[in-house]
Amino acid sequence: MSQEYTDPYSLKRTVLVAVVNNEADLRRAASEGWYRIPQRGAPRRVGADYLAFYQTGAFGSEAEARTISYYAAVRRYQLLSRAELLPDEADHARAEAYYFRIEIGPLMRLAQPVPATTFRRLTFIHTTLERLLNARDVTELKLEGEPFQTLWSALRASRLRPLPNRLAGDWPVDIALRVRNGHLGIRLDEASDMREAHEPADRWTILRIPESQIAADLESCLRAVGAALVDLGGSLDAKAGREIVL
Amino acid sequence: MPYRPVPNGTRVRLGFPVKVLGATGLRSHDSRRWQNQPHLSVSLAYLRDIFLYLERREIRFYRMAGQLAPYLTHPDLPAFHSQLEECSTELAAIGDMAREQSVRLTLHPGFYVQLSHPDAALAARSSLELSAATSLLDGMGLDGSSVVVVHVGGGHGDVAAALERFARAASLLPEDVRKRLVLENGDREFSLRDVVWLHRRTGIPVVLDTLHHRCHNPDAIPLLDALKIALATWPEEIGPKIHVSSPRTAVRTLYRDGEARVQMPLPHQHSDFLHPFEVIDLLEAAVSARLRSFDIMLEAKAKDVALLRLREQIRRYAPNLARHVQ
Repeated sequence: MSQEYTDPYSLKRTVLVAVVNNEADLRRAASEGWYRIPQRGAPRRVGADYLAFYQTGAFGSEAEARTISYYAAVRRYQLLSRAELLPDEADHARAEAYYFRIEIGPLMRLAQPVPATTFRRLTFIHTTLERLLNARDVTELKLEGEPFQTLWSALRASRLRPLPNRLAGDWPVDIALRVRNGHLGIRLDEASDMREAHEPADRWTILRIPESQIAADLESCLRAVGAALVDLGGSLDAKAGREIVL
Repeated sequence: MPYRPVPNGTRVRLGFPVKVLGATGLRSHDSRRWQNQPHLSVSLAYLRDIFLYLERREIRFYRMAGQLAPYLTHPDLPAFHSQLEECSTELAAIGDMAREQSVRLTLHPGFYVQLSHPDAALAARSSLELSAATSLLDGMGLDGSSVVVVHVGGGHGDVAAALERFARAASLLPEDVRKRLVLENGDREFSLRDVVWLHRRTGIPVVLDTLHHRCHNPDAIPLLDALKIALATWPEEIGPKIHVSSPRTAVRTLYRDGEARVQMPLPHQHSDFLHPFEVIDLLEAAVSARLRSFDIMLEAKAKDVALLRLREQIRRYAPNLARHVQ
């Protein structure tokens, strides 16, 4: 596989990893050559040279479940209403909503599929072709300087012990903190592409933080985390040292 | 803290060109080679991502990549010629986004666009490029403030003849193309006096490039006077823009054929960041003189990072200017 990309510049190409949670979407990508992302609620970055597909646990016992196995070159983006995109579902409640229709070339199978061994986030990931071709786990795809990393580092610097990528019942959370009465789960919401139908599990409290807020005002994010920790009886893992800013 | 403009007086918007360096992985355009089928729609998806970044940073002035529509006018690649028509919806959507965010967008085609070229075929090709740039901006539904910046071109040993050729070629451009055209002074030929002469012949407004003016100012026009002259060439309804950069002063090590070579800086080369005190001096002079508001395209190698740094430096070293500058 890597022999196809001997040009180092090619390896710098951008890749958007999309989440596929049903076979129909993947089949459509393979046979019709397109994938869709709703314009409202689209991730901060939709532009990419390649699209890769993270297949969720909905693929059951298949080898590709919870793995990125396929990717394809992006050919074109179109903005279309749902009715134009899926004429058979013209009566859909969101028929007028706009979607990015991403036309792609033939699906290619990664020589080294990328599993998500500890990763359960149902989010888009923006990465490079080089990382996609060489990663051994989905967590290796994330680019440095992303909001997750920024918040993670800031929590560590505040003497907390964050845990990455946990499930709060059916809710995937980006960062978890152990508190006296359970767990505080932090969701970085602008990257999410799915809405959960269920309440979070018992003893979990979910705090949503927009990624843009992390970039614009990290201190206010830390204050929000600190306030939530106080509400929940305090952190169980806070190490001695500087207190988190409230 | 959100920007609160000064109620009266000169206001200046800072902008940066093309590449985003302050966030990882943001591309300015689809740069794939023709064999890999690049497309304007992919560039527009990248541009949409950049706009979200501009909004977070409260940046309201941006120069788009000249190659936004790849191979759009390439004579041997007709498959790329209809990209503007293919992307009419996406172009309109990105234009809407720019308006919602109050971002002024401009274009600056490469040096190969030379209306004054003595070779008629090359001059005609330049006209074609400018028409394509205009169609792109029109497709986004952008108003007259979205201009296309050009240089006069080469002097080819006779500056006066080159000026005449430019004036003639400009007068032959379609009206919609000429209305978006603005003209920048050069750093070796075509001084401010020359481009103002062209303005009088053609009506094309002048973009003062302050570094070029420092490098090539045969009439010894002081910078503030040069700024006043350039701003006066713009119509009332369109905000003028200028280019500001600082000369590189550091040595650079070049590697060629495995050998390192130290290169001395040249005054017309752009530095990574702006000299904050020179910019502050210029802004203070403009504000004191109560000049009409204008926009500054910062031509620094550190792009948006240089802009954000300059904002901080203005707040720190010239807080009285902070409400004049966005």
